[in-house]
Amino acid sequence: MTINRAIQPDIKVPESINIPVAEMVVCKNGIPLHAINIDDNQDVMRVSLVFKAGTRFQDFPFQAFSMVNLLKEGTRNFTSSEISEKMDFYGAYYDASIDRDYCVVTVCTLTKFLGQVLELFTEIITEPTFPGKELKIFADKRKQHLDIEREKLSFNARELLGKLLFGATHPYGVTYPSGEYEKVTTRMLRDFHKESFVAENCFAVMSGKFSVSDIKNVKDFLSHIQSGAPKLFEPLLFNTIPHKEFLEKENAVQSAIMVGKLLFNRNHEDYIGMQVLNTILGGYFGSRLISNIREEKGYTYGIYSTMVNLEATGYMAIATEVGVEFTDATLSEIYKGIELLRNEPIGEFELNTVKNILTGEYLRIIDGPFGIADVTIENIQNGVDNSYINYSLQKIKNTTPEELMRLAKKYLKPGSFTEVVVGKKNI
Amino acid sequence: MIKYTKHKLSNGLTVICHKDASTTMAAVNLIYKVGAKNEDTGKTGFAHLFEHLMFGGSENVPDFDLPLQLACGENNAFTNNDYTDYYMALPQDNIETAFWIESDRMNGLVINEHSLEVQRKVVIEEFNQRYLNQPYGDLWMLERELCYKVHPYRWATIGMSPDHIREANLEDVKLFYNKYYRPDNAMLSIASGLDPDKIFNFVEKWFSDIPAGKLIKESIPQEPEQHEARRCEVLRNVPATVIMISFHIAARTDREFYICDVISDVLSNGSSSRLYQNLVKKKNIFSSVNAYLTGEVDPGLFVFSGNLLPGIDPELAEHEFWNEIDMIKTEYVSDYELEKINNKFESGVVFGEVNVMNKAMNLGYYEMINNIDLINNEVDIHNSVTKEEIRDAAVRVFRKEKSNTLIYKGK
Repeated sequence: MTINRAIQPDIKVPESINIPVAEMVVCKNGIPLHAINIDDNQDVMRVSLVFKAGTRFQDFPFQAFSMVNLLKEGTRNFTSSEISEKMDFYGAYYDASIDRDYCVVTVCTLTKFLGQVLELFTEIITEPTFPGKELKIFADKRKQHLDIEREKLSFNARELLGKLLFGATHPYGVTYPSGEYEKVTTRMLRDFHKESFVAENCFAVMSGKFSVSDIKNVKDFLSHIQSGAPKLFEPLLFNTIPHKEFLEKENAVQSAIMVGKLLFNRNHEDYIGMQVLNTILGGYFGSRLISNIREEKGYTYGIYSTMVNLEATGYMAIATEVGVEFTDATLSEIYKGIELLRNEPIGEFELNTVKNILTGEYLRIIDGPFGIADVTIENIQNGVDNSYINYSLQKIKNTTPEELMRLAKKYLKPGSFTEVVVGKKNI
Repeated sequence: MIKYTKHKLSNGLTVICHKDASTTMAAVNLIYKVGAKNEDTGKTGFAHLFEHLMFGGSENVPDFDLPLQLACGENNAFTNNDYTDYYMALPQDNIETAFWIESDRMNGLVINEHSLEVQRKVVIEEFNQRYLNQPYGDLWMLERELCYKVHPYRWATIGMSPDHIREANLEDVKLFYNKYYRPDNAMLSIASGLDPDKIFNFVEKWFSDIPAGKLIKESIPQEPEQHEARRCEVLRNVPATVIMISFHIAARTDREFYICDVISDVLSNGSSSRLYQNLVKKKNIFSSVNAYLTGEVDPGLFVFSGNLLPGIDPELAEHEFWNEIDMIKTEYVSDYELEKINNKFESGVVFGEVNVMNKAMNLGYYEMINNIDLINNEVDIHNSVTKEEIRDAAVRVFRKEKSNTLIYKGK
């Protein structure tokens, strides 16, 4: 039998997304616990604690990052190696991460070991001791890691863009020499832990397959976290003057390019529209930048545009690494691409493609208990619940070419971009 | 436990289906059994370049990505030394779109000079970005050259030089497609919430008219036994010195592979493992340290690698690696250590089974190595490794005269 492949199969685009809404319980100390039970999957669970304790709240370089990474390197009752032994013995995965605003501490475990793993987790979260010996090992390691990262052009470009967008000393833009790791002390870590790992500063998310008694176990665990008044901070101010900077690298074969501009965070009314616009420009394989600069001209292996969401603001950034001889041509193509968004309405077909792509992305990120936890965390951070996914999906579906052109004219004005090139120019 | 159903079309295409009732997404994975090891010495990097060309459009699908994106799907691909893997995820209601576009590029890929010219440039930029313009970018190129003298594993999938990519021509592309991109050299695996019978019907509909290829009988030159220790030292402008000590081991499906896998877990799976505790935490020799198998289908490598802390003499670091090696050669691993790494292995497998993409990819992979049952048996095999076997394998594999030592010195 021969099939006629000139006839395309029908497609269905989901109208809405079936995302479980988290059930919320509040612990005695006020910590909200959001529980998402997915009972037709594997017997696994994830528990994440989110603290408003990102790097912007620190008083010293690398204080917050070191604190969160050293939590499991020694507690009141266990040494670092005992904790590692136990975590590995139960086959549990532990992870601590931090960004400018939040730090997230997570364990994933087979549900049958939840009790044992929580016992360890309690110690890690509430009674870390930050031994000096462990701090020294960590600092040496991270110093070297940062030195290696700073050999990469793309890393340099990212740091430079942050500095230019926010200011070199702004909590969202500041970077430090790797040598600052040597000045971090146990005292600093204890202080930061004490003031930031408090119940008032925290929420928790659990997802996977669990019973009512597992929820109770997690609640009991959370109740060990002390109350305390979080420190007060001045609101962050933003005032960018568009700026161009070129950092020459002697033996570069490629240039790392970043073009960015400060916008707003996810709570802004124009955020979703800008997300659509950003996707059209450089947010998927087949986007205008990829089609032009990679698939048409072959200047690069990859070029992307993203919207970065921070707690107090957000920005848009276009990033690529191109053969040094294509540096200038690439920059000019990027600006041409932006201009086009301002001057010509987006065709219905292209817009429809992007709407479907974004629908697909929403579907994929919520696949599986670990993905749902990530989405839930992000929603809570933005002050919404999981119904936001369908709200924003509808808003994406209702976007029009006129609306997008209005946004492009308003937010993507020529001369309003900050530009960074690390590598070589004018070859 | 992953239940699957297997079916073979008359043109030789192997199809494997797994039903996961908890999802409405479908993961579709297509493996072609061709990788960098099938390349000629003078035309390295070709399998990977060809992977790029697979996105250049086919007879009825001028743009591969677009119909999939319209169907809310996403796809990507990778090439390694053994095989090439194309994978997608999309809502299961649209699964026929996946079969339509995959079958069209298996049936009639459009190959033209423009697409080849652009992808040559893109791949050269990939070469620049990942291998030349990157600290430690050439580390694995040096490692392969050191460890392999005969087997095509001696070059990386990107190829030995950008020149090979520059020289690729249309004739090569056509020959390669007709030889390797045939249904009887491919395996299609699907994980979704749909019934396997329904999927088999769709696959039959979209793929069964594609003609089979000529049976490929290729003998890959195998690496002769190594009898003398090898060393390579280079000086590079990087912040930290890296040391790698590597040994040849048995093929992927051999029992020795599993024994070595257990050894690598004892040494470096998790922060309680021996190398991390002894060489990073206690002795402060390395900032990071690892012991792992390269995991290729043909006999691969057991690699020890570490980033030295500043001021540490590479000779001392090398000596410390050998101390650890001697320990595993002379003393039995404890029952506790074995139990721990078995737990960890098992939970790793379970965590890996929470999403459909992993399951589809694994099914395809195990079928590709001709042993699909391993997808459910590997935990048992892993658990059955004894401390006697570990010691014996360590004695057999970790010999000075069979070692390959690479010192990548920083400034």
